[in-house]
Amino acid sequence: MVAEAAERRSRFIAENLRRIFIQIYRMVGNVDDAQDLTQEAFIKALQREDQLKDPDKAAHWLSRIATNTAIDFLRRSSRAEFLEVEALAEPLASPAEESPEELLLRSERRLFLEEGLRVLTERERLALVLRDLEGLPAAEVARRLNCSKATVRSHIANARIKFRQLLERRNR
Amino acid sequence: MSHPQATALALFAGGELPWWMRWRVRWHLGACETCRREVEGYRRAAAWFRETAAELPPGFDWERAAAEMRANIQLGLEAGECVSGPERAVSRIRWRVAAAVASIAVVVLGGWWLHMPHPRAPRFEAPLVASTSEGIQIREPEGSLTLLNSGAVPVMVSASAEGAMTARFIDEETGLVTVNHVSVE
Repeated sequence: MVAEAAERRSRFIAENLRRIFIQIYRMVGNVDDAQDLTQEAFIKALQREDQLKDPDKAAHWLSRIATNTAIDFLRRSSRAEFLEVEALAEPLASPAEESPEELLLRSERRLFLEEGLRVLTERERLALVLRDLEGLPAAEVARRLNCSKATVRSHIANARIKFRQLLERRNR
Repeated sequence: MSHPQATALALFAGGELPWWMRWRVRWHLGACETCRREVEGYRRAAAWFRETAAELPPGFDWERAAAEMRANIQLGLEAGECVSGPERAVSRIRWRVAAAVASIAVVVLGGWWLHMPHPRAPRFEAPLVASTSEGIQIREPEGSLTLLNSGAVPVMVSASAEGAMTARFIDEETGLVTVNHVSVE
């Protein structure tokens, strides 16, 4: 019974870890904080797993806990700094099948994304990540950010306009 | 031709516009190539964002970080169970039992209280001044005191609103006009 529960937990972590880490990372914009908050979100979720009635909704439920954990963190710290790529101690990890050109392109694209997210305000970034990356409906994004649907629409629209302008400048 | 605002086009591209505005923008797009291109641009940017944002940060060793996080999550859960796991289960049971006992106690005590005879609070009874055939009488719960008119007839009795009473009569023994005035405070 205990082994079964441990196995279920491990599977749950393995299936969702990467997605939740990326979601939180895009929200807080910092690798170290994202790691800590990911752990915190999983611990919170698994400590309350008996509250979850429908296992099919586990991923959504976890995502919600992750969002709240990240938002709480941002509220507490009132900041969202981006870790400079140069500051990373680890060498670039690359899948073996990628050519040097592909690797360079991918790296450029990621850097450009970091730059794009940096021009957004905190609320715009959160709204954009929850809507366009997580695929949540605008009403749910509003609920999670604790603001009106009209405000969320405004954040989403501003974020898309800024992002698109940046993308166009890059492609010129 | 007036074009929709950029925000309306950005929201139209993602399907967030309310239906009446969506209808208006769609109608406009049918006739405006420029705005159609704008909407396409927003859609392409959103697709690019979805694809790129779902990737890990550049230069990030996922395997190592994932192993670290898995270990820390496990550790956090075990620590949590050590500190509050069994206690939490026990306290939940205790809480339920306490709630049940409290409910029963409320019912029993309420019924007992409703059925028990309630002693009435002692009523304060003020002394009463009255005129009787014998004289002016002061009555109290504990007893009464009468100031006799010495059997004289007639007696003129008057009472005031303050609770005082006066009896005037001629004393049969002395033949003097006698006035008995009793005032209660």
